[in-house]
Amino acid sequence: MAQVQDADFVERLKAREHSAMDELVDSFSDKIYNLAMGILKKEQDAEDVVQDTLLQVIEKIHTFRGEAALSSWIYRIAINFSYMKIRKIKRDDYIPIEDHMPKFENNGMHQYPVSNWAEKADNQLVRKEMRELILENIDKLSEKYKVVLVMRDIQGMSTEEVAEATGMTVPAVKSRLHRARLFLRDRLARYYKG
Amino acid sequence: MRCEDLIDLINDYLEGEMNPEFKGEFERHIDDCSSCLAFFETYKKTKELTGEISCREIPSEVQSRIKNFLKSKLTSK
Repeated sequence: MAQVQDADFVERLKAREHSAMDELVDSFSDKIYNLAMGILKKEQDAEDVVQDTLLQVIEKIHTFRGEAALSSWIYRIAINFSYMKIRKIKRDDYIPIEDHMPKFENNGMHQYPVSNWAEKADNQLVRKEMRELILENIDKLSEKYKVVLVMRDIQGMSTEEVAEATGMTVPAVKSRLHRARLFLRDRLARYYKG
Repeated sequence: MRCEDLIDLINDYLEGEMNPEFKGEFERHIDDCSSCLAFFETYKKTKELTGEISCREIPSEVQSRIKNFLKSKLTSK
């Protein structure tokens, strides 16, 4: 993503310069689209989120105080639009994350022996299948986990950036991310442990 | 360090955010516990595979459409 200098860029957006609008789309539409696709899965829904987000960015740019990075402010708007959209879609296929957390005895030891299937991913066909399974299972996560996982592990944002964009604390992002990864690991484990 | 504690700390270990004392304990536990080693390696692999999922790029025609939409919407006011 192209880096934009926040202060100058914000002034140009306030002035509604066409070149600034183009720069806004060039700099942020990919990231917003990717995030929205990760949450919503449908291209048309993701496109709507990009359009609604960028429109609101320009319409509300005068309220941007510069306390957070402009990108975080934009992602927060995009997350809100994605949530609004998902509320309209009836979903009943979430899997409770608790069912996939590791189980321990009272003394803190594993309840069951853990099998190591990591090397199976050395086979390229299995690796591709595993990636598809991960993608399928990301969709089974509730949004609060999905947003963090997509931003951190797929989009490669830092934990601090995710925290700023979601309005969460860094420890809360870490905890949610860890639980989302534990969920995905367990979904793969159930498939490949044999 | 118990297995349960180790699992809680995997991400800190992978991010290099663990203090040296815990790091040593973490590594000694993994050397001795095959279940924790398996858990650690499969967690790491899951993270690695998730990172290989490619970002979906926005189609260029959609980008152009949004640019035109923003200009028509915001300069007509």
